[in-house]
Amino acid sequence: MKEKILEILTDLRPDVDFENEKALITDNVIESFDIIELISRLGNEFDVEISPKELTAVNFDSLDAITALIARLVEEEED
Amino acid sequence: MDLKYFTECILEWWGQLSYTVWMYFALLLPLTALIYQAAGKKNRRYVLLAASWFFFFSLSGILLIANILTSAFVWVVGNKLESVNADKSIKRKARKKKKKQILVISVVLLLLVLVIFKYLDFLGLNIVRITQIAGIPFDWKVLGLAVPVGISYYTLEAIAYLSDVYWEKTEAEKSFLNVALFMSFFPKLIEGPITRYGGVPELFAGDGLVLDNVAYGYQRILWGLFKKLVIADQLAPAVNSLYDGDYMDGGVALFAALAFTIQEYMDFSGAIDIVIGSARIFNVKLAENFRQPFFAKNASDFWRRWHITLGAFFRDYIFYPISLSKNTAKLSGKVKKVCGASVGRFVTPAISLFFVWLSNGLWHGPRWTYVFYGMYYFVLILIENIVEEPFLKLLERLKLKETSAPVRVFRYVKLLFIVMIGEMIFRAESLSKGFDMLKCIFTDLRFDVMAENLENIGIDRYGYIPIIGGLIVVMIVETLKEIGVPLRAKLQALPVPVRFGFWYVCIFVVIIFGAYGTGYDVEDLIYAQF
Repeated sequence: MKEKILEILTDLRPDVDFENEKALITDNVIESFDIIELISRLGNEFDVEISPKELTAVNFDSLDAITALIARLVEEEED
Repeated sequence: MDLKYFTECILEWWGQLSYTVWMYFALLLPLTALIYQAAGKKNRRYVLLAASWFFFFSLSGILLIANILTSAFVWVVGNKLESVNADKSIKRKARKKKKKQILVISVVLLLLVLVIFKYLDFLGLNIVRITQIAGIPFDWKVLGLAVPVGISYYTLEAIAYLSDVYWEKTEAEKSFLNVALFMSFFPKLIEGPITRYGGVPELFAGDGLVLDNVAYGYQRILWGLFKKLVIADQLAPAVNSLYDGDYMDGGVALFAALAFTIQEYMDFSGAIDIVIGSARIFNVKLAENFRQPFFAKNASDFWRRWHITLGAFFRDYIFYPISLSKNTAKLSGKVKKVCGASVGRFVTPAISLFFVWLSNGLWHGPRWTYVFYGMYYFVLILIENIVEEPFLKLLERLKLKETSAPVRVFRYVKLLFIVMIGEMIFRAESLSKGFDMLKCIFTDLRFDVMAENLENIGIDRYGYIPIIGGLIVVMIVETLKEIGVPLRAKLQALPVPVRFGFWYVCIFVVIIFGAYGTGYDVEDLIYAQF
């Protein structure tokens, strides 16, 4: 899952080092246009619905955080 | 002294209560701080609430009731939303539906109150115009309702709070007095920043005064007074006479655009410095509203640095919810199929951006110039996002780096022009007058008569000295902040006599060069009217 998310992120913003960046939202590294495109791609890839509720820096500041969010949402969908 | 005369003086001064009058920062603020400190931990939030309601009453009289009723409404609905959140006897989907109904109805009601106070005459008069064209008899008597102070700010704060409880990002506040304090806290009442409920836990903590916070607060207030009184208010008579006048050549129009941009930035950011400083005295850390906006690389970046809390509100409560809604996704998917992915990927942000900027324009008030201002940025930001990729490719072809001097100069000039034109239309007395000014910049730009035309606008030759001097100081400070120099820490590290000497000089600069006293009117805060 993590590799796939990294692939999506890198495709969206090839200029960002997603493996090391830990403040994607806090430092405005990725911006609102990128975020909604990212959510749309993540939603299609993993078949999950990401609501505005999840749009927090905690969930999107790093590759690990995004992976944890998607893993949680996939689990919730299965429930 | 004659008691009657004394009372009249106090009442007259009180009538001018605002963040930039001495009565606020030298009387109301220290007096509140003293009572706050004396009241003890349990009672301190009551002192802040009493001071806030007193402040509100001084500015808006009986309309204080509107603020209290809104607070009560928000308190009740917040707790209702939370009780639905917690009610596990209802299935998840049904719970979500019920919560959504409560949220939508509440937001509509909050907006309705805002519309009644602020936009009713605007709506009525525009309906008259439309019905006249259609030949239907309709008349509208202008109501001219008084507007509760800060309603545009506290309504957005209420919407943000209820949405956050709905999304379970924040817990509903159990205490009505806490909600009431949040909705009326006097330092942020008139001009924002638009504050998130979860962002100010110190407001309710009741901790005693801390010397460093009080010092920081007053230093920040002094910096705000410098920007407002030495620069913005010195420019105000000139800006007013330029925009009220009839004739203008291109050079003067360009000067008017620049002068208002400077005035507005110094006025608003200066007021926000006073606001943030005032709140810090009570240990409350309000969000920053500006981050060196004129260092932005484009219009989108500018709006992430200018009136940050308004932009963040629209992003979180309009842009994202619309972008993530199923209807927008469906429409975007259809367009992608028909026009291809490269066009389709702009459909969702374009729809959301349209509503963001329409709301931004209208939020500033019931005027077509504001609506135009919103649409102006909608179009520009959309274009910027579409052409950014081709622009970067062009730079690659030209073997130019994004950080190279020519690219930075180009971007800076473009941004300055965009911001100045936007501000010119924003400030113009009417849309047609704004367009006339814009037109004459391109058709009648003559610098030979500019000096002559600028002689009678209310600033003499010496009047420019504090303005230009002040601007240079602000530019140096902003540059240092942009490159990350911790200015205050450096100042604090200076030996005590030097440090005190520095602050005394600052106080005297504001006293000597500030625009107040005889010959000056107290200039209203520009963003207080929105």
